[in-house]
Amino acid sequence: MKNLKISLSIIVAICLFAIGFTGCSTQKTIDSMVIGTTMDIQSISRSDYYYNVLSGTLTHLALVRLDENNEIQPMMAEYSTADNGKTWTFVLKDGLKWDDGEKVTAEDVKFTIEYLDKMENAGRMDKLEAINIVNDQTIQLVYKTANIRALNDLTTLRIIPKHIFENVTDYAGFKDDAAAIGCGPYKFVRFDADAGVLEFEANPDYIGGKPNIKTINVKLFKNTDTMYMALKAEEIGMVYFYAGGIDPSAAADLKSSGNITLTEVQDTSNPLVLIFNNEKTPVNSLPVRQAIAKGIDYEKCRELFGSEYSIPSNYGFIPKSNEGYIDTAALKLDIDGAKKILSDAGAIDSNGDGILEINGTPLDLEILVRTDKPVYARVGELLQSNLKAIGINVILNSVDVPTFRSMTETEHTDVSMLSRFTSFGMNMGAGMSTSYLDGRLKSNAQGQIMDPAFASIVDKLKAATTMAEYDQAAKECQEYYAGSVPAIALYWDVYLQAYNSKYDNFTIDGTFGIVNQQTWYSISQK
Amino acid sequence: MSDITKKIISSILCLAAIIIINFFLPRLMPGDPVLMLTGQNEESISAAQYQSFEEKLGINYPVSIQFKNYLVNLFSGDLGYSYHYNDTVANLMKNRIPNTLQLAIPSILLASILGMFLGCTMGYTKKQRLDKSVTTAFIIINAIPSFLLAMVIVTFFAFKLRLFPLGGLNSIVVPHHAILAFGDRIKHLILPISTIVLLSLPPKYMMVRNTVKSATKEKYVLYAKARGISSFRIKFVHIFKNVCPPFITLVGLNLAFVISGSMITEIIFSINGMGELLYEAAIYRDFPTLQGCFFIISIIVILANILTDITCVMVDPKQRFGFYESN
Repeated sequence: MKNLKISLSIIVAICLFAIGFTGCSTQKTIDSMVIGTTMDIQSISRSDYYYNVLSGTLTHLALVRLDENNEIQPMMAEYSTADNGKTWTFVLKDGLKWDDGEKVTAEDVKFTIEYLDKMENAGRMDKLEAINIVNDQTIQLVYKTANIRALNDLTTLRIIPKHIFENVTDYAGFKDDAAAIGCGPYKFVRFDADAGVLEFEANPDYIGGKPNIKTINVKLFKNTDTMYMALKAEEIGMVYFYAGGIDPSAAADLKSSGNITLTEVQDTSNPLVLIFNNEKTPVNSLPVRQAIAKGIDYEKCRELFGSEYSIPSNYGFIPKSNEGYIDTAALKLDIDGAKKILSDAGAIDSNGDGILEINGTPLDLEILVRTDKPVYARVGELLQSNLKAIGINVILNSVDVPTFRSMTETEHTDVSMLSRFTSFGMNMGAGMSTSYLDGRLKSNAQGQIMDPAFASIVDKLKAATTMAEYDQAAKECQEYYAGSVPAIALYWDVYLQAYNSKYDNFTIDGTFGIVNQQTWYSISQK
Repeated sequence: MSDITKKIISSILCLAAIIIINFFLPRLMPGDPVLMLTGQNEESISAAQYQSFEEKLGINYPVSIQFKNYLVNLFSGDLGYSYHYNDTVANLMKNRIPNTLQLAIPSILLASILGMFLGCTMGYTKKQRLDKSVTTAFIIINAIPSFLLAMVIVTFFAFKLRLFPLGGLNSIVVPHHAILAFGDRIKHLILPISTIVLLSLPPKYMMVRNTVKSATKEKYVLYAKARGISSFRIKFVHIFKNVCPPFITLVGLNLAFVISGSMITEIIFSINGMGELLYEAAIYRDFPTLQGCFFIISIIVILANILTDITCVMVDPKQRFGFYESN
């Protein structure tokens, strides 16, 4: 009897331990997950911008990637450099295969660079002196000049299979399933336009092993409100938008639902900027730009448009967490300071209408906004009321997307505009947002800075052969921004990413946020 | 010449006018017709691309040859090429028209039947309080912006009560069995259709209700009552026959509205339809798609007009009699 009692006690103890253990455990293999997005995906063509982005998180690999600290890490290939960054050698990882079974080779990498240059005007070939294939798995990129930041550019170069694309002349129109063949941890399965669903399944042959989620469905929504309802109703597991999080105004509601976790991803982009066309009157005048910088109510801006984690920005323009960041003076509302600057510059209100004039010309500031982003119009209205207090008349000009792009990126007929600078865009070219601001560039370059002093700094950034040299030039660049105020960051923020609380262990990536190829191996379900 | 023949001739003339306007509009607008027809801008297009577009569009030919080519293309179903979507406009529409029709046809039928039934009932009823309540409700619904109405419906029925899905035309995993797949589609269609029905019902209801109300004072209604004919028959046979022609015309005109005006519903319910296509094309200044959509919608309006005229002749004895007499 005693033995029976002991045996029973042991069995009960084992059972309780087992129950407790399984109760606390997390499930590593997840059958399926639905990601909701409002990214406008029309087809699986490689030229479909958002599909291309999405493929970079699931089916396609780049040579290298950015980790959560914005450090470069190997992805498809190990890398090394010689000649102070002039020659970069990449050795492809063993066992990489395309979804159709073909081996991934150095030829595919060479083909991708050349092909995309032709099809997308990617502009990489202009910087390259040669592309040498050393062997089946090794490729060398020889730049014309030392390029210490070459790897940053390669984080978004998603390698495509040569054997599929070499005969494709209609790159944009190629929407066949073969267009989705990649070599990443997931394989493309289908695009159901009626359901608005893209389906991907785990790739059993991927060199990193099988990811934790067997099937990923990406559900396309055309409006965010319904998508947030679907998240709350647990119809989808998470929401995602490339280079942007959830709408900060929806954060409190999502948080209060009880089944949603919001996580912060450090935003290395500028989520809301006022960019001056530095060649246009009246913002070609330094005192006017300085006065505008002092006339904006940044606190109100953060309160109305930023998330609860937003932080004040500074005159140096480049957000914290970016390579080479230095502290500069914080941007603050200072109406008296703004008025003094304008008064010292000779601005007077001769007709008593409340708007100042310089040399008889009223201080009218046209701000261009896009019709498809109504939030910018609201920001514009706030600036209108802020700047009226210092005697500047803001005229809001709301235009459609093509007109906006044409005016700001090619014709440069705008005076100023409200927009955002993505992290990727800010790191393009010489980095430090110079691709948005350097007036020597043919396209984009909304800031139109033609100042030789700035051009010299940009050249220093480009010529840097070590990171120490680059950081020194980056410091000069931020000091230039602080002194010259060519653009104003209205605040800095984090991305808020929302997902169902049953999921855990997401990995953060400097390019894609929490939806990235590392997440598929770390994610678990409670 | 009969009224119907006259109608058909005027419709053909109308179609010809639309074709001419569609052809000349991008060519007469200020700016470069190549850029207009491709949606590109001068700075971002290379000389080689420009030349390639010029050749593809045949802009370098004389206008008469361009027009002839345009007609040939049009009648062979070529509505142009969208450089925004990188697809032919015909293809874009081919994928979306069926989705929109799945919303439009049941919506029009339901809204028409409900409008007719409720309009006749409330117009004929002596219960003033009921009539006033229903009419006031429809006036309020008519005043609610379409996006708000759609959001209220989706929030209440899909999110709060979880009775219907939040969007799309079918579930992520469509059931394999045909009947289950059909059921899944119906479940997805109920809310968007209800939204469109609610949006298009008030004008129909008001028209029928007001016409029936005034008809109740007519002598033929009095005689019908005196003969002991049932209220149902008086409402739906005697009075409705007189209400029919303007009602059918209203329904016919509503077809084009439902096809293009389902935009908000399609966006809220994330449905890939014609309304959503028009919305995107307008945002991205995709002229070829806009032209193609307007052309097809114009044809639908013309056909709907002809169809409504023929239907009016068939249901209205006065018109039918006149029609036969003139023959």
